[in-house]
Amino acid sequence: MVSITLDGVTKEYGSLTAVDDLSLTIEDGEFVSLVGPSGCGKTTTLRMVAGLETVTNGQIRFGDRTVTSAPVQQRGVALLFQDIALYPHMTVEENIAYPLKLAGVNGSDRHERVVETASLLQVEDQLEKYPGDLSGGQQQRVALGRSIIREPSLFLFDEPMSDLDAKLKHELRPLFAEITDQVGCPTLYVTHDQEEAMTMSDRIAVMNDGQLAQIDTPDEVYRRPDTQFVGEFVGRPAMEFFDVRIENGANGPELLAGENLTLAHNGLNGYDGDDLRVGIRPQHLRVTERHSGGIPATHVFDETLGDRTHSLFETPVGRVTVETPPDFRGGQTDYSIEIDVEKLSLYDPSSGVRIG
Amino acid sequence: MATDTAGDPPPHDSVSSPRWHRMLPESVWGWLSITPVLLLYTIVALCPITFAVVASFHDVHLLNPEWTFVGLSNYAEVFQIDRFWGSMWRGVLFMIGSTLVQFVVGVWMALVIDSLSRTSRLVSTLVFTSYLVPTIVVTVVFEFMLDPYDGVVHAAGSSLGLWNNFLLGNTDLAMAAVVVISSWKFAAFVSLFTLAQLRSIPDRFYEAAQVCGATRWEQFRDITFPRIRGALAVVVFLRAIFMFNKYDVIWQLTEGGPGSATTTMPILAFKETFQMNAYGRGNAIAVIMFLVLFAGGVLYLRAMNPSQEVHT
Repeated sequence: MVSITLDGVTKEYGSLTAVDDLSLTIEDGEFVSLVGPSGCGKTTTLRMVAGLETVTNGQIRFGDRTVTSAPVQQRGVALLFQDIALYPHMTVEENIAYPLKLAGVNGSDRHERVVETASLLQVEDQLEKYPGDLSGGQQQRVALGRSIIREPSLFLFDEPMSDLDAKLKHELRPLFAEITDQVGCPTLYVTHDQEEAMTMSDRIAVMNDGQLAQIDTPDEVYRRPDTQFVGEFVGRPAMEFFDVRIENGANGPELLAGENLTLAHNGLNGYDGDDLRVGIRPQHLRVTERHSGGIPATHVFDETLGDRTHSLFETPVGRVTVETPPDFRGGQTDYSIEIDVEKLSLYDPSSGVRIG
Repeated sequence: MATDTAGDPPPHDSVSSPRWHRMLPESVWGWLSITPVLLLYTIVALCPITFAVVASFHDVHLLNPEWTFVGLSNYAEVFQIDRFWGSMWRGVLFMIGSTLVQFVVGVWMALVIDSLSRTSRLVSTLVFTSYLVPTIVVTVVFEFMLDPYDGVVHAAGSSLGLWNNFLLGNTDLAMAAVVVISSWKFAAFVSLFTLAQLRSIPDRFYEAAQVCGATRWEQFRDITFPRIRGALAVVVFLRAIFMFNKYDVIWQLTEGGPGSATTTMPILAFKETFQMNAYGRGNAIAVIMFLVLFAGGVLYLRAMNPSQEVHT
């Protein structure tokens, strides 16, 4: 098994650039998620890797082998679709065995390997049935079986769980992780669900508008988003952003917003006189009684989540979400919000790129 | 449920269920709503069929309004006609031949159109207009193209040494010519049917198969064919029935000739009725055609079971 390399891959549809100069390496055995909003080019990227879409520019390599224009059949990839794509006219057994049948494996060996794969996926008692008789989760297990039965060189997932309900997702997530681990080949997992990407991946590649915005471990992407876009896309609730000016006050640098609103004191040495955009996770904001120090805020409503509360406040710098304790109930009254300056990410206000 | 609503209507529901509607039980409304169809079916189908069956038991001379009941003797006579079994054989030959040609050409056209582009409708529209061309236009154009003096198809065929004189006057080749000409129009029917089924196959199925390593032929064998098999079974069934009953094309081209080279069952029935003036006997032939088709149809559907072919 080998690593997968995308080198300056570009895909254009007429004048539209769907994927723009994307470079990315997936190491052997590594699980990389490609996340991004709808239309960001993540599925196009996956389809180019699979060979279902032609590449306009750039190279795709499996190890040393350049596969940029190789047909799908010669790439030896496993691909799981969002809409599952099991053959309704074949039984579960025939579906799982299909790649083996094409490879010319004889009947009894085929059956043996199907039973082996099916028991790994806990569908061994469904072999006689047709896909239409199975639940969505079972169908996706069968599709997984079909894709792993012929030891793939690369595992591709195209939003395989977006049609399934939350309970099934939680059931399938560890199964996908376990199976890809066991197969041991590089995995590229496309999803628009940042939570899925966070929980399953070794590394996350965030795409925006055809370009790679950031690729790093889930932890790094969450803690140090490279751009404002990544900060907003990864993590729930989304990162809050404020445009500020840094000025030296009586007790050191102060973060000023608008005319004369001080967001925080005692922060950000070395940015005197700069205009910045600062980002902070709602988890790092604190709600206190109304006092002169913090951002004046009026409570709007609470989203009760059981283990925590997401509270929305109206402030002079716009609506701000704060993560509050489980028993917090705002009651539409006045508060102050304090920023933990240590946890701020700093961005260039015009480009949205991280500067500190 | 139905009787509940009728017996105990909600007091202020006059808009969705007016008073006059509530005065009759629902079953009466049901019968009333299908009455037009029943009436139409009775007038258009049941009456003429009954009339034909009754006529087949009578001796009816076209110029004599008196019907004489003769029991089964019309049927006995039919089997005595020297051309009956020949016509039956030619009818079956015509049915199988033309259905086969339409099937092969039609399915092939559908596959080509489907692979061209799923968005381009122009080619498919052009193909399907052939189905809209009136039969008389088709036959007249073919007669013209086969004309021994200035027909283009005649020129091509005779220069290749396939035939010498008027093709439709050739006892050995007339049937083949009629089969091909009658298929020209109806291949589009097969295409239309097949294409609708082809378009219902998701692209994902082919992509998944390619990922599994399937070649084009394997994709056809394992996905396309199983998915369109049920529709093909139905279209063959329909075409075979239509072609066995086909009268207009053959009559316009050859009137069943030369000799009786293209006399199929419907041509024979027509000739018996209007040329031999034996209306009863003509109807007996029609009834026999119906029984043959009925038996064939039941056997075919038993064997193919098209409704069982489609798993969704």
